[in-house]
Amino acid sequence: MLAACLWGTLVLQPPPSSDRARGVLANGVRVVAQRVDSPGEVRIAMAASLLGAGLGRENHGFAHLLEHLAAKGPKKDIDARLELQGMALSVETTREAMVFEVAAPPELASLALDALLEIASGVSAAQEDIQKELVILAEEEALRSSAALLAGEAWSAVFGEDGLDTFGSLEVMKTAKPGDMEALHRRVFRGAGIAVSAAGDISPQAFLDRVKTRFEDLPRGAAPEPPLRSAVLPGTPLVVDGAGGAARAVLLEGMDTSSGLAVIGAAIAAARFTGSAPIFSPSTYRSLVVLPAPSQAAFAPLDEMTTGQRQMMHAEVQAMAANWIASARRSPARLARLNAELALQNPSLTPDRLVDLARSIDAAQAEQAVAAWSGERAVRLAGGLQ
Amino acid sequence: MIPAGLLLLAAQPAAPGAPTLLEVPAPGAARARVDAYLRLPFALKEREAAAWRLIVGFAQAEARSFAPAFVRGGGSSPLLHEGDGFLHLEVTAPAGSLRQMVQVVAQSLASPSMPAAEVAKALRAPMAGRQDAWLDALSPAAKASSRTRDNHVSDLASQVFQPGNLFIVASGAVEPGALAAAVDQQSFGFRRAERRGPVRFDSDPVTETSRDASVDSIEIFGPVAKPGDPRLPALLAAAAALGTGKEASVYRVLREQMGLSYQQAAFLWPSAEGWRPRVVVLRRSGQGDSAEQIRAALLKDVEAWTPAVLQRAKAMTASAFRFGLPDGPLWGGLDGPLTGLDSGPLAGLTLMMGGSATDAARLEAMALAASLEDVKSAAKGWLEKGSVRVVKGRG
Repeated sequence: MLAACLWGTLVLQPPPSSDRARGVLANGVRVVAQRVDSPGEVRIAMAASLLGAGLGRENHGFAHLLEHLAAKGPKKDIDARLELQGMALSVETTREAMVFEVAAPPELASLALDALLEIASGVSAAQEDIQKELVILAEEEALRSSAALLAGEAWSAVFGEDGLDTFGSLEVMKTAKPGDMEALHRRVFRGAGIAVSAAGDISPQAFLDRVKTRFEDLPRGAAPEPPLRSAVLPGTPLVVDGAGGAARAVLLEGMDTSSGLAVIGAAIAAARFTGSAPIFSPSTYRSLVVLPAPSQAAFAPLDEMTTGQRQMMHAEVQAMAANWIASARRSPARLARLNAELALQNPSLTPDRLVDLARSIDAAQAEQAVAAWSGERAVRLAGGLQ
Repeated sequence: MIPAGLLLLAAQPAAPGAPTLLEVPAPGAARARVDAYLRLPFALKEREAAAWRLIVGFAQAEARSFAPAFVRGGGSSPLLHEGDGFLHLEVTAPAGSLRQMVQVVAQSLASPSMPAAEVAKALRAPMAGRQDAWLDALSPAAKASSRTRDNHVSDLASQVFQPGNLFIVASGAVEPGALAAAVDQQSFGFRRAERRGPVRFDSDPVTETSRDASVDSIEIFGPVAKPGDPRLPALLAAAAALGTGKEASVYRVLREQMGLSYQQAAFLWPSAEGWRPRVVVLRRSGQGDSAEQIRAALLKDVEAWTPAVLQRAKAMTASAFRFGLPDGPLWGGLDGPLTGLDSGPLAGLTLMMGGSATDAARLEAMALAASLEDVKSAAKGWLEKGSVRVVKGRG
């Protein structure tokens, strides 16, 4: 059963025995809680929007550097405190948001929320902290997979300045000062740009109450600005130095439509030819889905398909898209992250609604989505190490 | 996911020359899961190792071909991972789908389609790398051999795809006896095993050294511990102290204190023979040989472990078993760390290693009872006596 409530000074529609609840605090913090069958486990995610945080070429990578610093907490003791109780913090930065997640036993959910609030409240960013992280970031850069490099190039080629990769430029990061990090932290961690969610063995309403008592004093700040991302699709294959393999990329006008989900479903279906899963961060904004492969030859089955064969993939595209969302509903970790990201981007959108949209993909949408992955229509990328 | 406490512990080696079967029913579960393990019957030599890479590719393609049908039916895409001396197939579907799941096992792990023309084509094609340094480090690939021929591929396939090498575990929504019935009804297409030819006198395979990434992988690994080995519980707790969480030794010392690497891990890794303790560190190429520096730094840290370090390690072990952590101490292979909820894979791996399913269920409790002295001793033994493997990046 689904229910929703809005928080301000007044609580509307309290859902006393619901499996899902959501609300908005007076300062703009969005909250979603969903009970799922996972005895003894809860995952709590906090997504902080990067949209409208003043990120661009001049500070390319500052968000990534901030992620490294912020995850330690203002006293740099968050991991020590959480892990002593068997909890674990992880963090991931996408183009849309920085998402922190704590895995915890349900009885320790309040401590997990305290840790996330600390992260949102301040950052320790002395120059020596920055220098130390730059060394680790140089190691991280060397580890970037070919698929990640190819995907980054695709975004850059299609969206230009609006498609800068999430890793960032080490050269630019080296210019970061403590004041830069503190200012960026204030711009990112503002009530209007934060969503907190929980999925697992919890009472949704009790979770909303806990978030309210902790996060209601966070400054509201500016609302996230939806990205414009004007796109130009390159007609010739892109060669990416330093990468191996190949990839294709397809433009997506957001995952909140049947046609958008069809592109994702077609990518997952096509993965049985390429052997690699597609790269896509859940987004309702214009973005790219990237499908890596050992070589462009791996895409041959897609290129050789007739219209009739593509039409026959209708049920498969539908099922793959629906299963992608449905499998997230079975995983508290994925569900907590997805709910937090959806709450930031489109609060009325739920995983159930996405499954319904996927199931409503029609034959024409499926055929077009499969055709979009052909060599004629997709952005083609090749690693320069071939 | 199915609680390990519900293990039906009677593994059934149904008849001589038949697959070993185990059912782990969980009353009330809505989904069933099948984990099948195919164990390599011997250590591969150079040409065999190259042939095996091709065979794995065909088996994976076979498993992937079932994805549309399973997803349309409410299940998940079958996944087939290569392990250290084995293959692991995982397939999940709604209750009542056991026959279809066993069919995937049969076609992927007993008689995958390997048309002669495709084998010949694959032998001529350059081997594609994984393009991911971390996966390469976890599961180093054997170098391709230009001396491998199509008969080496077919001979090896006939030797490996044999019922005695196959272990099948069904867990979740499974009626008692249903797995044996489904296996009985399924034609597996096993062929007569060819005799192992002169390839058995080849040299050992060489690990692939060329990678896409400019990183070296540096590894310190100890001898495998069989299921039931009395060292195993302390080793498991040691793996958590060394590798689970950001306060674990490898992260705290190698990354935070020394700035030596971004990605590092310590865990027990499954092989066909048992659990292998491994420390794996990835580091930018061209910075010299750091294996002994890593060994010394970790040993110094282990020496200073306190009861609080053990308390943290045990808390993380409990959580890893209870609901899973991304860097848990016990791994199932490339599919990631295992939890106590993964009763199917835990039991399947343990059976394949020659243990009994009860060993898996008892392991967590015994690890949580290990003393600081035993855990330090296990970690020191692993690090002091461990062998080093360094795979260079492209520099």
